[in-house]
Amino acid sequence: MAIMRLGRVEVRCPNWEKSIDYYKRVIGLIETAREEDRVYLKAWDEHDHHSVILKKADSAGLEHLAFKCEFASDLDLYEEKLNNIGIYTERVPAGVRIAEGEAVRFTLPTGQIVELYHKIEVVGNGLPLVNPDPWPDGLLGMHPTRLDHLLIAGEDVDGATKIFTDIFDFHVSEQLVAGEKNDQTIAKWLFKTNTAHDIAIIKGPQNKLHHFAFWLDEWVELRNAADIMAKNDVMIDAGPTRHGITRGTTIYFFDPSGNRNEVFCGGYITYPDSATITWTEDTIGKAVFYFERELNERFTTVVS
Amino acid sequence: METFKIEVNGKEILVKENETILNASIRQVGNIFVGCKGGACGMCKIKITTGETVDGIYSKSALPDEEYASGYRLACQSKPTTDMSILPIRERNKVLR
Ligand code: FES
Repeated sequence: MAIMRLGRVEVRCPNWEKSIDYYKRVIGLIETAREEDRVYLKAWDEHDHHSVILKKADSAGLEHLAFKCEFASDLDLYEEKLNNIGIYTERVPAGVRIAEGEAVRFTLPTGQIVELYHKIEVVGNGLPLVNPDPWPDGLLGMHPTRLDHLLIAGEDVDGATKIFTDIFDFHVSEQLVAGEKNDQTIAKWLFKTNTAHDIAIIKGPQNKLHHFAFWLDEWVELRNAADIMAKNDVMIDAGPTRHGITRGTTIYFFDPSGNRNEVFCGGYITYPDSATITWTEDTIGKAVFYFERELNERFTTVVS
Repeated sequence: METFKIEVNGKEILVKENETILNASIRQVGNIFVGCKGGACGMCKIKITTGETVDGIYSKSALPDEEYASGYRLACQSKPTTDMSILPIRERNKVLR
């Protein structure tokens, strides 16, 4: 039994038409379905029906995030574990959204809605499973291979972290701490796959999205991504640069509705026995933006 | 080409036709905080003392209707239709360390 990966994010987009065009043409996601108030998208190398859902809404932000479980029975198991520690869960029936099976839904102490699911329609990555070429024709924009991770904000970072470590067997790859005894949590980076993080949680206003990130295979692709951003007048927040935390290379930028995106590349791999790395508050600049060694106020205060 | 004069906290900047107040402020160091530029974070919020605007699409969580009605705008979504005088709610971005 296990969560396998971050499966999807559903993001609210007030600037509806522009946001659809941006995610398809500028980011380069592929549309797999559409209804009145939702557009379903996938990155090219993902096999499942969608990993990003755009939702037409009055306010920006994260509608929900979801993890894909290996077995259908994982839903019962996690539901029981969550209920045992007093976390209320409900079932989202199959068919509420296109191509999705049933899900278990609960709310994190940081306010975000999380779903756990196993079933989703598989559409493939555009390549054959026998003797495939490395990539399909017709890719647009930055064309990341996949959705990689997200950073959420809220008040009780330790409480949310405990759910991930104790219930879902995530591990903490890195943490940023403050206080004289370094005992106050600013942020935690958590993994379940063997990347440096699948989700990170930062202290901040409750139930907010800091960013969600797409994976690029190579550092040079970040330069191309930056070119595409400049060409399309995308608001760049920071980068291209490198993180001290995770060692990944990065650009942060905003979608037309003001939700922050990231393209992320590299970083180390992790194992369940990887030791946790700690950064103290006095090195926060280097920890987040390794080259600049300083943070901009926008990065720390802007959330959606 | 029509341009409008905007007094931002006592300093005059010029806004070109079809330019947002925030972009004009960035060009002329008007010192309005630059956030997401997408109407979501509310960091570029301004209060109108005098003048009128037309506005793009923004998140209601960043600028609720009551605030709009009482003269607040998001500089990243707001274009002047008259000369104006405004006050930024949050001043320019700082580098933290
Ligand atoms: S900069 Fe974020 S709302 Fe204007």
